[in-house]
Amino acid sequence: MHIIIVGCGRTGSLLARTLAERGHQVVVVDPNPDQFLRLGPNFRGRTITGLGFDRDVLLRAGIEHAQGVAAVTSDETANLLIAFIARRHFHVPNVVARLFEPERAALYQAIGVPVVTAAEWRVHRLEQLLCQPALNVVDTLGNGEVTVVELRVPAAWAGQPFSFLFIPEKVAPTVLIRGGSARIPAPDVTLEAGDIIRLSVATDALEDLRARLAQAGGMECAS
Amino acid sequence: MRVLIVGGGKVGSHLASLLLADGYEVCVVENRSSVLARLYRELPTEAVMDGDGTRMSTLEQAGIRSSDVLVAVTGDDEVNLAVAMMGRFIFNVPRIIARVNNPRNAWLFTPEAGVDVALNQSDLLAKLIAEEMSLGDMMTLVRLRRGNWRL
Repeated sequence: MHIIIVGCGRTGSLLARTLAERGHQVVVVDPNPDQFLRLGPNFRGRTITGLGFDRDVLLRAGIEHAQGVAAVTSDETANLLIAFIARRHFHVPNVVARLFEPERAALYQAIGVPVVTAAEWRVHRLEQLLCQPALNVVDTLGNGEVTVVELRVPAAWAGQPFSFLFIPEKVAPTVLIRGGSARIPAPDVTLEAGDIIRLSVATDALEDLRARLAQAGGMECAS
Repeated sequence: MRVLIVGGGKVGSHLASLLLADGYEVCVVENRSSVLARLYRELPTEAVMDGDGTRMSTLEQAGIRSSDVLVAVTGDDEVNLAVAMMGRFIFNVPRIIARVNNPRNAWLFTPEAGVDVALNQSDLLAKLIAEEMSLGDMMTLVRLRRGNWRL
């Protein structure tokens, strides 16, 4: 994917490195070229010095064919404007903005930009950077009310029925992946260590699920 | 008629004085203390509000819900646009006027961003000057449609 990241602070540079390592085509924009040092010597993406809401800068960054734009500067007003331009002027399909003032969430919703609060954002990113995660966020639905996650079943859960993770209105396990093949199992199918389960989780219940998994010893870093 | 002005610099405070003299109800939002001191000297206390105009709670306190016109005239184009967006998408203000500081940003000041009228002062002034230089014996009587047409 061609992805533009505006703002090369701690959040922006980490995101850029992570995405570039995964093979995405990344362009980072920041008015201060010194910030690009955060990307490290092995960064394979492009950098452009300039303002993120300058039309020429965005065109040079290839916004016309970008599949994603992340507005992650430390200036919330700038983030709002960049998200607005990306969504409304250039119709970029995936636009996210870093939000500092929760009261502005309604405004982002009005311009069609999903909201990720800084805390959620950091937890997710840190998890991906620190560990080969046992609980991996696959997708976020609507305005983030529901998160789709995958988890690897820890040994402590072997022998439990598939339905034991189910919590009405909070957690709905949907798919079981065993040995690479996926199916929608009966509720009483017995789990085995190493199974992958895909679940839809109310985002406010995500931390509880994470805690349950951590308690079962499923959050240890791989290798 | 109630007018909410965000930005109490030269443009904002002058506009407020003109409107108050004409009998409008006016509130100027400003958060720079040096500018506020001047505003309190020049305008009646009830026409000045100390606060950050990019915060929805400030705009609400300043009475945006009962305002007929919102004017964003800070020296910062991002702020003027953010204020206009909030005015349109959250508070649905009937008429929104915003100042363009840097002509490079003019393309963003559209009705889609909540701006009904964009006033690009550098552009207006530059065109007037150019006109005065080249058209010594012609005189502009009136400007129509935001200065794009002249009689």
